[in-house]
Order: sequence, then C-alpha cells, then structure tokens
Amino acid sequence: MTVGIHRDAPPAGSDAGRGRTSAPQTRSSRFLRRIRKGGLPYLFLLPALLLELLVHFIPMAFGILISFKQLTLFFIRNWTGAPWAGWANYRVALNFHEAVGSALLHSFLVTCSFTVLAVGLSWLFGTTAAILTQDTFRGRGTLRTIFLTPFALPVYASVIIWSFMFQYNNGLVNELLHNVLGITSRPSFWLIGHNSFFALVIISIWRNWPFAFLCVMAGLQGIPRDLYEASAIDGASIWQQIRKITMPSLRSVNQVLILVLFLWTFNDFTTPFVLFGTSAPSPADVISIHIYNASFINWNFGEGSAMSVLMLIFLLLVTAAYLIGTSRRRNNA
Amino acid sequence: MYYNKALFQAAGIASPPTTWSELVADGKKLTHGSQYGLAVEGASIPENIHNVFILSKQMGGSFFDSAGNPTFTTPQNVAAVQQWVNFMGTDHIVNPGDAEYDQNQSLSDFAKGKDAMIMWQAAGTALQADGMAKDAYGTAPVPVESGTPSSSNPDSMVAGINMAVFKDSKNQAAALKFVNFMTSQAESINRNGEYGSIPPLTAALQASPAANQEQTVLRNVLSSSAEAMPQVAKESQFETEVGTAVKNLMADAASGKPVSAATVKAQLATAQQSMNG
Repeated sequence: MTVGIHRDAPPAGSDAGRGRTSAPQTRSSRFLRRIRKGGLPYLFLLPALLLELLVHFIPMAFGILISFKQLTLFFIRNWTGAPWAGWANYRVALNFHEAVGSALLHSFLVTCSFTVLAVGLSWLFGTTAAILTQDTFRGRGTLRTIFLTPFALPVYASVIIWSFMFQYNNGLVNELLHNVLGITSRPSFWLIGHNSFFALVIISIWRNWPFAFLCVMAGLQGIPRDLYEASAIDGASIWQQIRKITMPSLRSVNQVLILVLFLWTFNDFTTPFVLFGTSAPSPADVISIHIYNASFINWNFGEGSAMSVLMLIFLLLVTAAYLIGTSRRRNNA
Repeated sequence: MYYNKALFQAAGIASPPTTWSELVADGKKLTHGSQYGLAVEGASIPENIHNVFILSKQMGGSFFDSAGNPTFTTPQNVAAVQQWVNFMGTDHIVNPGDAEYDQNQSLSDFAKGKDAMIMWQAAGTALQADGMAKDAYGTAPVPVESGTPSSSNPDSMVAGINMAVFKDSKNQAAALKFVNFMTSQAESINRNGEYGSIPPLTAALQASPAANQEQTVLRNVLSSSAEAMPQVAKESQFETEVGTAVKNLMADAASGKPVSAATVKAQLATAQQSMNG
C-alpha cells in the first residue's frame, strides 16, 4: 500500500515544484505538496490506520447494524435477509417494566457495583503493596515477583482453580472458614446465591491487583528521593508524605490505571464465564455474560447487539467524562 | 433411574420406588450422616429441564399450548417445579451441595456411593468409568405420581440434537454423506454400543439386542412410556429460560429459603416473558 503511493509521489512532487512558479495549483498538487512537506509520516501510518479500521471499526459498525435487525435463529443462515427491526431491539432492552429490560437493568447495576468494588480494592491493594515495597530490603525482588504471579497465570487455569476452591462440598474456602477456623456455623455456597457476587469480586481483585501494583511501582520510580528526605527533615509523617508527595506525583499514572482497570473489569467475560458457565446466578449476572446469553444461548443476535451498543455508549460516556474531569483537575492544579 | 443396591439393602428396602411418595419415603431412609437418598445435577440446565418436564407431564401439564405458545405458569408446571426443587428444599433427601453441580458431579457422587439414587439416561458407562462395579447398581423406571407408567403417564422423555445441512453449504454432497453416515444402521449400533444408549433406528434396535438389565429397562421405557420434549421452534430457548429458573430456585432451596408456589410462579412468569420478548 505504502509502496504504491510512494511510487506516485515523486512525479507529482515535481509538478508541485513547477506550480510554485507558473501553473495555477490544482487541488491534487497542493495535497501532494503538503505530503512532501511533512505528511510522509502520515502516509507510513496509513496501513496501520486501515488495519485499525478493519480490526476495530468495521466489526463495531457491523454490531451496530445488526442491532437494528431482527436477527434470530431463523435468519442466521443468511443474516442479510433478516428483517429490519428499527428501534424494536432497543425498545425491548430499555423497557424496564418487562422481563428482558428489567433483567438487563439488574445486570447493569450488578456490573456497576462489581466494577466499583473490584477496581477500588485492586487499586488499593496494588498501591499499598507498591508503597510498602518501595524501600529496598532483603527479598524485595522475590516478593515483587510473587506479587505478579496472578497476573502472569492463564486466566482460565486460575479461575478453574478458584472455582474448585469455592465449591460447597469439598472446596478449600469452606474447609478453611467452616471446618478449620469455625467462622461460619455451616458451609456457605459461593458459586450460587448471594455469595457468588463476592466470589466474583474476590477473583477479579486477585487477578487485577498485580497490574495496579506494577503500574504504581513504575510510577514511584519517577519520584525523586530528595522530596521525601526534605519533607522528613521538615518533620512530615509517613502518612503526610504519602498524601502530599506520593499521591500527587502518581496522579497521571493513576488516571490511566483506573481507567484501564475500569474498562477491563466492566467488560470481563472470561472470569464469570469460567466460574459460572452460561447461566450466571442472578446476584452475579454481569453484563458480559448477560449479553452472551441473549446472543448465543437465546439466538437473538439483534437484541444482544442492541445491548452491546448500549453498553458501548455507556462506556464511551463514562470514559469521556472521566478523561475530561481528571484532565481539568490536573490543569487547575 | 439408577439405584445403589448395597445402600438399598442396608436400609432394608427390597425394591426401587415406583411412585414419588415411595421415592421420598425411601429417600429419607437412605439419608443419614453424609449420605443422601437422591443425587441431582442442580445447576445443570438440561437435567433440570428434563426432570421438570416429566413431572409436569405426569400431572397432565404442558409447557406449550397446541398453538406452540408458552404456558409456563400453569398450576401443573408450578407444582412440577416445586416438587423437583423440594426434594432438596423440604424433603431433604438431596444434598444441598448438589445445587451447584453442572459437570456431572452427581454421577460421580452416586458412583462413589455418596447418594443412593439418581435419575439419568444411559448412565451405565459413565458410572463404570467412575469406578462403580457393573453389579453394584440396578436400573429401574423413574417413579410416577400413581399407577403404572404408560404413554399417558410418562416417566421419561425423548430428546435429541438436530443435524442440518445449510442450503448454501459449499460441500453439500459431503455434508449429506456425513448425515447419512451418522444415521446409518451400522454407525448407530456402533455408537450406541460405545455409550450404552439405545439405537434410535428400529432396524438397529432389532439388530442389537439389549446387553444387560440396564438396557432392557431403558428400552422398555422408551417404547412404552417416554414422551417427546416440546417440538416447537423455540425449544432451546425454553430449556435455557426454564432451566435457569429452576437452577435459581434450586439455589434458594439449598440455602434454606422456602420455595413456595408463588416464588416458582414468579420465576416461571419471568422466563415466559423472556420467551416472548
């Protein structure tokens, strides 16, 4: 692609050179001159841009298109033949008085509380661990490596192990809480019923906090030690140092970190799917599983796509608001 | 239904139950310590739906009307779901832990002698694979409300998986050949020998006589008292929606929450709305 355009460029370039003195500049020659003047890097970026379009935007556009179709199992052979549904799929998904809509709303609220809890605690654990391991001590490298293992393990393997641990009859968690420590009066269910929500939160935190740890650890390297030394001479406590020096210096790291954690957690499919299978218990019915159910279990791709588009809009709004909000605060500071 | 002969003998039960009240009574005798009377695959959508379907049929219920519209909330369906869930909830003959099983853990529990009965189709090979001796388990028809199993008082269900060739398939000839192969008499005998199930072709059935007591029981049930699952276009959605409702109710029963007719009806109503939505 680049090669083809590149080959065209030189003769056009010489045209443009002549145009400077004599002939009136045509639109194309002006464009080509601009490329010659400094647009070449953009040309080199073109293949990447096209691939980005192909990989990201076309599937997205497809999804949006399908959300306006009545694409059920009767039309999957030739989906272009599926009748247009107009806004019907969206109306069903957003009608909170009916079963589908109220289930979606429930699932959305579950996902929001799951995300807030999981991201908040992942960040807290990651940051605490990073600050505690900031100073050198014997075995620091080993400890850091151990901290990072959950992040390095394949998701499927680790979640399957968690699901064994959370089993009612012979899981490790009940063994510990009930049989060994005697905290609970009878074994608890972790994979069904209300606790399933907390099981999901715990696994999500376990998987994501090492990432927060890694990012904050990297961010801490950039804070000059003199700041701490100077503040220590001025009599600042460790807590004051963390609040006045560490946190403000980590602001840009945190801004990105929390956004990434938010998007990962909100969209996480693998963890709940491996843990609960195709029908998650209602207290832990997160939106990714919910949409998967609408699409692949009930074979209603139109409705599933409409839900996905709604989720996309929500995530876009939150991300935009977050970025605008956090950047403004930084500019004011 | 499969039952553990040694556990039945130890509890002084001479023959497997033929009605549900007998099953509950026997189940209570067989439940003590860490042992339970009946094993169920509580979080498995297919297992839940198959059993609830049979129970509903025995009460004269149906999940669809003659026009193919869902009728999930009829009194018979509600009663069937409630009966199934309450084997755990109020009869206490099912281990509450079974409520989270969906990977055939109940089969392996039964094979290990943790539970005395299990309702399953063609489980023999799986039980043997789990280490249960061939003569340690007996096979009997699933119980009925009252009377004897018949086509109007069914104790089993027939279901299957469709094979289809797309109209615009690139290798239509080869695909059709494959369908022919899969449905041929030789392959039918071969496959069903491997899995211990019953050949669906009459000719294959006649060509391969029942190999053991299990096979004899299964064949009798199939030919005299099995009912086909609803033959409607939205069958798979029915299984998912109602199966999920039963799974959630089973979870309630496991955590000690009472499962009343009203709760069941509400869950089934939601399932029905999702079918129409």
